[in-house]
Amino acid sequence: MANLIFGGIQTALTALRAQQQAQLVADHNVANANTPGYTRQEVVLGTRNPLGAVAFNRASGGGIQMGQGAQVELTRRMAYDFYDERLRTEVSVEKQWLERADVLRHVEAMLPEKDGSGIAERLSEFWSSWQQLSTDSADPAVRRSVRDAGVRLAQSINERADGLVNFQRYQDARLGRLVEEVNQAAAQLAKLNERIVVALKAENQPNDLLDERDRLRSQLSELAGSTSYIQSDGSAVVSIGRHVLVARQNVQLLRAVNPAASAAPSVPGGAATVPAPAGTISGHLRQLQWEDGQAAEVKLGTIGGLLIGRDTEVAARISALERLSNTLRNEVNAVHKTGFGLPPANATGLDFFVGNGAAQLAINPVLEANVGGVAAAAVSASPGDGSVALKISQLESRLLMDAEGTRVPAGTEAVGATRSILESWADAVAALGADTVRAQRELDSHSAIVEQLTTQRDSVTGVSLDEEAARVMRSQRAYQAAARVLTNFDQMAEEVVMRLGMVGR
Amino acid sequence: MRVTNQMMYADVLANLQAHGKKLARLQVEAGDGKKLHVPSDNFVAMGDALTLRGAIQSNQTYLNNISTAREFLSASATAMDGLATIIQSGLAIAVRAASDTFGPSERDTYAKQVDNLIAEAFNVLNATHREQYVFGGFKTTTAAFSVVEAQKAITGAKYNGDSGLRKVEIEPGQTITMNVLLNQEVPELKIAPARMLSTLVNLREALRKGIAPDVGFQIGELQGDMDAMVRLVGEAGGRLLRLTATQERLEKVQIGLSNTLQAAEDRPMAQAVLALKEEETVYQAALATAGALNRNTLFDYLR
Repeated sequence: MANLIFGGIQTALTALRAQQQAQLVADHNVANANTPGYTRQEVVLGTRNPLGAVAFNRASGGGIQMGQGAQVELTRRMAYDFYDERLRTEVSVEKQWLERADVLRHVEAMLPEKDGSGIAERLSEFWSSWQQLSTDSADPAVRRSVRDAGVRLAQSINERADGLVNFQRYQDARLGRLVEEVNQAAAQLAKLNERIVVALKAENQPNDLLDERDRLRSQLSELAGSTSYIQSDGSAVVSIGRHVLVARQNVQLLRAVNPAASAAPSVPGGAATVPAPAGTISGHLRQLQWEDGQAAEVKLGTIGGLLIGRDTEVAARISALERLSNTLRNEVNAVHKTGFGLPPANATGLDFFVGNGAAQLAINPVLEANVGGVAAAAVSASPGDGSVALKISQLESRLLMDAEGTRVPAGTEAVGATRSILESWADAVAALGADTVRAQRELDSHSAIVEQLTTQRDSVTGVSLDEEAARVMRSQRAYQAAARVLTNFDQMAEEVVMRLGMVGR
Repeated sequence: MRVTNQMMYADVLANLQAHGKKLARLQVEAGDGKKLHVPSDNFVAMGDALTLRGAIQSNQTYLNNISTAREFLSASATAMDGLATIIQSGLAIAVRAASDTFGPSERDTYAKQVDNLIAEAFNVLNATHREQYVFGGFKTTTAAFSVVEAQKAITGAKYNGDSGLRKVEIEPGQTITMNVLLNQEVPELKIAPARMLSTLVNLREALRKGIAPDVGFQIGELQGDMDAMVRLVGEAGGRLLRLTATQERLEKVQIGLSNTLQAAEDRPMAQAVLALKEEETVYQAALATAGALNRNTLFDYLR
C-alpha cells in the first residue's frame, strides 16, 4: 500500500517536472519571439517506462504494468530545412539585385539630366555657341561664349567622370569591409560547428546553437551567395562558387587584393573582369582571391552585386563618358586645327580640347587665355569668315556613332553610323534608365519571392504569442492537476501514517 | 497556416514601406510638376526628352541665326538703298547738266554736287552693322573701300575686302549668304555695283571739263549702275523673304517640339494632386491597420 502511495507521489512529481519544463520552453519562445533567426521549440511529452507489479503477476506470464508518469522526450526545434535552403538561395539573388539597383540609382544621381542640367544641355549649348560664332566670328564676346560653353561642357564631363571613379573607389573600399564580414562569419561558424558536433555526440539538443549556425549560413548567403549543407555529424559545410569556405572547424579566408599583388587571373563574373577604360582606376580595383591563391568567383549576394555594379554598371557608364569625351575632342579638334583665329596672330593648327579621357578633358589653355585663337575662319586674316565655326557646329547633327555608342571608323559614317554625339549620349542615359528599371524589377520580383518564402518559413518556425499563451495555460492547468493529485496521495499517506492503528485509542 | 506575430508585423511594415515610397514619389511630382527626374522614371521618355531638348536648342539657334542674318541683310539692303538714291541723284544731275543751256559756272556747281555725292557714297560703301563692315566680304574689321585721291580730289576707290560669302545655317544643312558683295559683277549685266563710284567720278570730271557728250555717256553708265544695284537689292530682298518664311516655319516647329517635350516630362498638376490625395488615404489606412496590431494577445486575458 505504501508503495502505491509513494509511487503515486513520484508519478505526480514527474508530471510537475514535465509541465515545468514545458512552461520553460514556452517562456524561451516568448522571450525570443522577435529574435532574428530564432526557431521556435516545442516540448514533446511521453510516458516513462512502466513498472511491472511482480506481486500481481500471473502464472501465464501476463500481468499489469504500473505507469510511472510523464517525461519530456525531447525539445523539438521546429525548423523547416526545405524553406530555409530555398530562402537562402533566393535571398542571395535578391541581395545581388538590391546591390545592383542601389549602384544604378547612385549612378543615376551622379548623371543628372533633369530639366536641362546635364551633359546633353551643355552639348547643345556648346554647338549653339559655334553656330553663333559662325554668324559673328569677329566679336570677342561671341568668342568668349564659345570658350565658356566649352569649359562648361568639359567640366560637366569631368565632374561626372570623377564622381563615377570615386564611386568605384568607394565600392572597392566597401568590398574590403564585406570580405572581412564574410571571414568573421566563417570563423564563427567554424567554432560553432565544433560545439555542435560535441553537443550532438553527447546526445544533447543544441537547438540554440543550431539556430545560430543557420543564422550564420544565411548571413554568408546574403553576403557572398554561398551554398551550404549539413553533414551527418551536424556540422555545416559552406562553399562560395566551387571553393569551400568552411568545412567543420576549417576556414579558407577570402582576400580582396590589388591586381598587382594577385597572381591569379580574373574570372568571368568575378572581380575586375571589365577592361579598364582609359583615365579610370578600374584597372587598379581589388580582386577577390582565396587564401590559397585561387581566384574567387562571387556572383551572388551583396558582394556579387557589388562586383557586377563596380565592374559592369559603373564601368559601362565611365566607358560611355570616355567615348563621348574622346569623340567630341577628336572631331572638334580635327576641324578646329584646319581653321584660323583672328588677325594679326591668325593662329592655326591648334586643338580646341586637350586632355586624355573624360576626367581630363579641358579647353586648350592657349585658347582659354586668348579667345582670338579660336579658329572660326577657313582662310587666314578673315575675321568675318565663320565657315570653320559653322563646320564645327554642324558636328551636332553629323552621324558619327553606331548604335552601341562607338565612333565608327572615319570614312564609313555613311554605312555604319546611325547616331549623332547627342543621340548617342541620350542612348547611354536611356540605357542607364533601362538597366535601373530592370534591376528594380528583378529586385521587386525576388523580394516578393523572399517575402513569400519568409512568410511560409515563419508560419512553421515563428513564435505565435497566442499559441505560446495557450501552451502556458495548458501546462499550468496540467501542473495544477498534478499538484492536486500529489496532495491527494499526501492525504492518503497521512491516513496511513497518522490514523492507522488508532482504533480503540 | 499558422500566423505569427512577426508575420503580421512584417506584412504591415512591407505595406507601409510600399505606400510610403509611392507617397514620396507623388509628393515630388506634385511639388515640381515633373514626372521625369531620373532615367529610370521612364527611360524611353528620358531618351526622347534629351533629344527633344537638343532639337529645341538647335531650333532656337537657327532662329537666332535667322535673326542675325536678317539684321545683317537689312543693314546691307538699307545701305544699298542709300547707294541707289545717290545714283538717282547723280542721274538727275547728269540729265540736267547734259543740256547745253548751262554755262561753265553751273556745271562747276553740278560737279561740286557730284563730289558731295561721291563722298556720301564712300560713307555708305563703308557702312557697318554691329561694328562689322557689311560690304567687305570676310574682311569685316577693316573698311571695305578706301579712297584713292589726287590733288585733294577723290579719283577712285580701292576695295579692301575679299570675295568671302558669309554663310549662315538656318536649318540643318541649309545655309544662306548674309552678306552682299558690291565689287562683283552682276552676271546678267556684267556690271559690279561698286562701279557707281567710278561713274560718279567720271561724271564729275566730265562736268568740270564741260564736255556734254561725256556727261551724256555717264547717264547711260549710271543707269547701268542703278540696274545692277536694283538687282542686288532685289536679290537681298528675296533672301530676306526666304529668311522670314523659314523663321515662321521654325517657330511653329519650336512650339510643336516644346509641346512634345512637355508631354514627355511634365505631370499635370491636377492629376498629381489627385493621385497624391488618393495615396495619402491608402497610407492612412495602412497606418490604421498597423495601429490595430497593438491589440492585446491571449496573455492579457489569462489570469
